[in-house]
Amino acid sequence: MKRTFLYCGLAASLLTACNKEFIDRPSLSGTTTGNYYNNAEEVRGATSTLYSGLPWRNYESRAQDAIGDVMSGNMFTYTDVEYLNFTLSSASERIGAAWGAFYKIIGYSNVMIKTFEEKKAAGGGAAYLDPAIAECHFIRGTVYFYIARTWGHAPIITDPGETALSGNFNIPRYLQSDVLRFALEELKLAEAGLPESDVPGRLTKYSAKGMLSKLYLYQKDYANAKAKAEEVMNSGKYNLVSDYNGMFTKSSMNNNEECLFSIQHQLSGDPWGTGNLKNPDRGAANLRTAEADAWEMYVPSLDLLKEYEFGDLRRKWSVMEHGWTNPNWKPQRVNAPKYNAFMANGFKYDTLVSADEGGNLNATRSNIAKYFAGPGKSFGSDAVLGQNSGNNVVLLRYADILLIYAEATLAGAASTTDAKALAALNKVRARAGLSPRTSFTIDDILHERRVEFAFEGDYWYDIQRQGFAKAKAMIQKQNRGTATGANYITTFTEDKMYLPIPAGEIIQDPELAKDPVPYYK
Amino acid sequence: MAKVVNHLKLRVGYGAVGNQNFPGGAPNPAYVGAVQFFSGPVGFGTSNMINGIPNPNLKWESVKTTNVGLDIGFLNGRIDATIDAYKKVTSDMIIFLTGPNLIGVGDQWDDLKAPLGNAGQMTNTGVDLGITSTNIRNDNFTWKTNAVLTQFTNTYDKAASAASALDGKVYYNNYLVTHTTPGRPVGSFWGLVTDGLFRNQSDLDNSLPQFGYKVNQNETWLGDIRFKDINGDKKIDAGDMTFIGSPLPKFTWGLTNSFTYKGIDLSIFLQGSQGAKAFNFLRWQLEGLNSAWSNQMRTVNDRYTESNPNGSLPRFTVTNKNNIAMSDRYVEDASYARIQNITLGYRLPTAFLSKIKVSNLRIYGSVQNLKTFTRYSGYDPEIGAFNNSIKLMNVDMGHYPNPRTFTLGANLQF
Repeated sequence: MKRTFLYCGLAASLLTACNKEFIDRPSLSGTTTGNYYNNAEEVRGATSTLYSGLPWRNYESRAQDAIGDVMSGNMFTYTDVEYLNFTLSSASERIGAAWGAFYKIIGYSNVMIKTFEEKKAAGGGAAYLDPAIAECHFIRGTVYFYIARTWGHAPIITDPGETALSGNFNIPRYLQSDVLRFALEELKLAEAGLPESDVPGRLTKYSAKGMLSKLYLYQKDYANAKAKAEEVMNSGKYNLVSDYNGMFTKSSMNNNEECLFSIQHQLSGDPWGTGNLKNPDRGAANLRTAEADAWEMYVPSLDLLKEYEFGDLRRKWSVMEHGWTNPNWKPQRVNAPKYNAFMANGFKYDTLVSADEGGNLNATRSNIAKYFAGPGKSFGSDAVLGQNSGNNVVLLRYADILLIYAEATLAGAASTTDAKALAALNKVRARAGLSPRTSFTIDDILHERRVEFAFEGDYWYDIQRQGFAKAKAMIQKQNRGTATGANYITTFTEDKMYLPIPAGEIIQDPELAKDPVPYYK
Repeated sequence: MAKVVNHLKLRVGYGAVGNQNFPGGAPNPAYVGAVQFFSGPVGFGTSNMINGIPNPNLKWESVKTTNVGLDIGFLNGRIDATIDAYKKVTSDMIIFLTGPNLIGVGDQWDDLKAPLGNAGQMTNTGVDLGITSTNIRNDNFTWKTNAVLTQFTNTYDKAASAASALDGKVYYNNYLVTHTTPGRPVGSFWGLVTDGLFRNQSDLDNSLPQFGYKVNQNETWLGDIRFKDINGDKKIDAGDMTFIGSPLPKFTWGLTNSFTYKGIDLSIFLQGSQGAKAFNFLRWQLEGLNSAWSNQMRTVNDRYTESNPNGSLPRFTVTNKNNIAMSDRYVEDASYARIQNITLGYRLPTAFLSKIKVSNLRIYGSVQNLKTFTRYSGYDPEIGAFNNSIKLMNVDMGHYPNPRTFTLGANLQF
């Protein structure tokens, strides 16, 4: 009897042990985190994905436009009207898209950080793992910076695997100041771990310093903002490019000397979000060809057109208006003799001739030139494949650093005549063909930022960081209408300063509907 | 007794099986972190991603089935009946442990895949009834009937943890349409409950703030949908989203009648499903009335306008986005009855055939899916599960409808 028990016990222990070992068996055939990521090339292949449209596309395509430029009064649209009129609600499409994209990018970075840390603990080489981890910290910090600016208080996730396995999705919103602090600490880790230089487009120490200077500026920590911007300026690695428009429309100018951080795009059939999808949303209808879609979903606002100073070259580099030409572009269409004749000697933007003759007359009598690569290779422009072009989307560039430096030197004062600050500001103005300023105020900076970064998804955050009272004044004075009817916002309320959280997220995580809590105890 | 009942069999069964089927898109094996490579250029060119979070504690899903069955034959085989009652308990269900999008991992093609896990338990309880009877049988004429009736209930008994539920999302994962908390059938539709439209000033005066909207033409206005305040907090928001229907039918049935008269044979197969709801997401787009740039269905002619204040659909608005919030506006009764098949055949007389040296010749015509009786407004009430996901049963994202097929044929034997 005793013996039987013993055998039973032995058999049972064998069974369970066997079970366990079976489960722990490493994969013999597949590529796994266990048998991969053993050299720089493999590790950098993973972080390369973080720069791609794959996780970014639902933000950069349309949400960036709706939130950054429609809401700020730079763009007019018939599609994302709720951003024009501030009637967005949690069912608005771009809100869910941006939320999903941002947290997806964070998910990618989180898992990479954890995996690479584990590889390091298991004896992997710090020489190739540490810079990759630093890239992930930059991405994670930058995206939390976006989240803190877009939603204010927001959840912070650092280990999605653990969160998913726990099944506990009661994750609170953390105070905006803590989300910003989290982002700041991430960027500091990036600054410490990223290399001095790398191949074009890859993040370096200076990308992190630049993003840090911007974040410090938002925190009104002017001393640090100025110091970080100055480190970027003193590095001598960056400069303003002379071909401003080319920076957004020529893929040969991807990762030029002005760019600190861009989403990388390549022209292909777009199986993985590799193409830039802004082309059709911005392209004037009279530039639509068999190669390039163009449906002008977003056009410049009348208010932005009014913002350009006389002689500002950025106007024609950013906007197509009556008389705008590009002699290299010769779009042609099947069975459209009048159109073809009109375009035969080069593209002309004409609001007086009819559409079938090649003209274009839209709500604001203008179209966006930035990020519109052209009508396609056969018609004299960069190659375009349907909706895809190969232009990077620039998220941080040197002009920003110069203007951050200027603003951080102003440091909340009424105006300044600081020579270095003026030099930085005037460098940006000089490229645009404008005369130098001899002193400047915060409104001069905001004006400069608005035209310099128009249609780059940034101006909403510039308005918002002025605080509710000033933001309200800025918005209510904008004409958000069309050439045939003005439209002014008369009741901008404080709850519009941040976007609502998608309703579906609140159902799955009811804590999101409650008051925010501190992240740092 | 023996004259009436001439066959009687009682069956009782119990079985337990393990199952290791992974949901679509799952990395395999699931207990290691898989690395995925891309066929095209991504980022700087050749890139890869970690696609899956390992779960070393993953175990088999187990299905325990108890069933009782009875086979009875009456009247010398003129009537045969079978009844089966079963209870099927699926525990440790293997699914992606997805949560809100904010956790950063999920089950979409471009998601870093959430870990697979054993999430909870569900129970199916059902009764299947089948009767075959030969109603008339004589030298020239026979009539047989076969009827089946299936009834079952499904309950999600417990989730992986107290906080988690089964959630189904659509449209780039942006909109949550199903939310199954323990105690409800899997795939429960979730959303706001509509209470008609705001049709006059007093409706607007008495309105509650809906997702922070005020009463004005751009926000809440005449012709907008009025939602019910489910949790009684005097405002409409995500907290008022609730159970708005189950995708599972109360019962399904099938009925086949076959007749032969001399050389002619005829069979008619009817089939149907009763009580299931469908989430017609197509109408979210095609009756959305929220963009001048999307094609709309003809039904939007009956939208609310000043000249059509009794319109059944809300007004057209590009500024108010609440009208397209997930709600019972899109939930429909997907009950249907269908003439699934009719076949008519004729066997030529042997006397004639022997002259042309043919032993057997039957010509026939059949129609598949001849007619569907339903109030469902979509293409086809037989929807199935979108992407084969149990979280998206009867969610109509525009599936290809069942075709109607006409067949003419002949069987020829020499």
